[in-house]
Amino acid sequence: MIVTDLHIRVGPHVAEALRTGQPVVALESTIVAHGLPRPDNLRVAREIEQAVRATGAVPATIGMIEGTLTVGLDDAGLTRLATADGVAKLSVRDLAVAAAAGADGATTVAATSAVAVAAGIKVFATGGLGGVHREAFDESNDLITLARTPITVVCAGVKSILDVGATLERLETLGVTVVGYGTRRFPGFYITDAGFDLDWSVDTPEQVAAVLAARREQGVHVGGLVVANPLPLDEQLDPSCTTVRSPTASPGCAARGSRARR
Amino acid sequence: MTPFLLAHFHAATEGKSLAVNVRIILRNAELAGRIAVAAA
Repeated sequence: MIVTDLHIRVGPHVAEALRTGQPVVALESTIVAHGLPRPDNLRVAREIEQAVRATGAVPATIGMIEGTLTVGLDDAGLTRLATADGVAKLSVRDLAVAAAAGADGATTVAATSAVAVAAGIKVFATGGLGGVHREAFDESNDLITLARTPITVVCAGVKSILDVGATLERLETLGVTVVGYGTRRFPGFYITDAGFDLDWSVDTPEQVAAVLAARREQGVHVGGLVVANPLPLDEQLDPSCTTVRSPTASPGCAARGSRARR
Repeated sequence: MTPFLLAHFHAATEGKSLAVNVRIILRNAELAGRIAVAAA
């Protein structure tokens, strides 16, 4: 019999911050366990937490250790998810079954969003969202989870190998708010501009806070807020590089403009 | 993003995509921190 704490375990620093109203930022663990190669992944996971601390906020990396869903992994937990073999990738639907199995798991954008909100955290930083795929029907659970989860997620858009236009249409259908940070163009993760206009932009963290305050006061919109934060132009990968746009199709460069822009 | 695709990007761009990937998440962590501070 596996003995597991089935509650969400909140790390002491995070619990104290939430109790006293200090700012907290949720971080996902999929990038640590599955997104980056070893041994860089553990070093980067610590750097991400440090980047949050440098702003005066408290980082709360979310993951599952031996079935215990944890908000605010300690260094031992981070190390375990970065180095152990067989760490499961957990979306929302996997959380309970993985807990019952006593699994180690890394949470996706969807699961991290949902767990963060359950723990009382309002802001989440990740790399990019999942989206709608270009070919066989496949839509990330990130999108519908954001429709019902009041999280503010800071990301660099979606990778431009996905169908960015369809992803933005789905976000509209699902009622997920999308604002560009310092831009009215939606970013494509490695590239600054994926080729689509946004209706709204904000230029400062205070403006985002004002949006959150208005939302709270209005009490109408229940979904997520995507803050799309593009790389500066001089830091993006070469957009003409086909490998950035498609891992399989070499005519990707030529195709740019026909499908990516409307 | 699947591990397969990430590995593909890292190989195809000679590791540049890894550095950019890390840069993206660090920038987003910093902005999220500033938003959380502003909203607290």
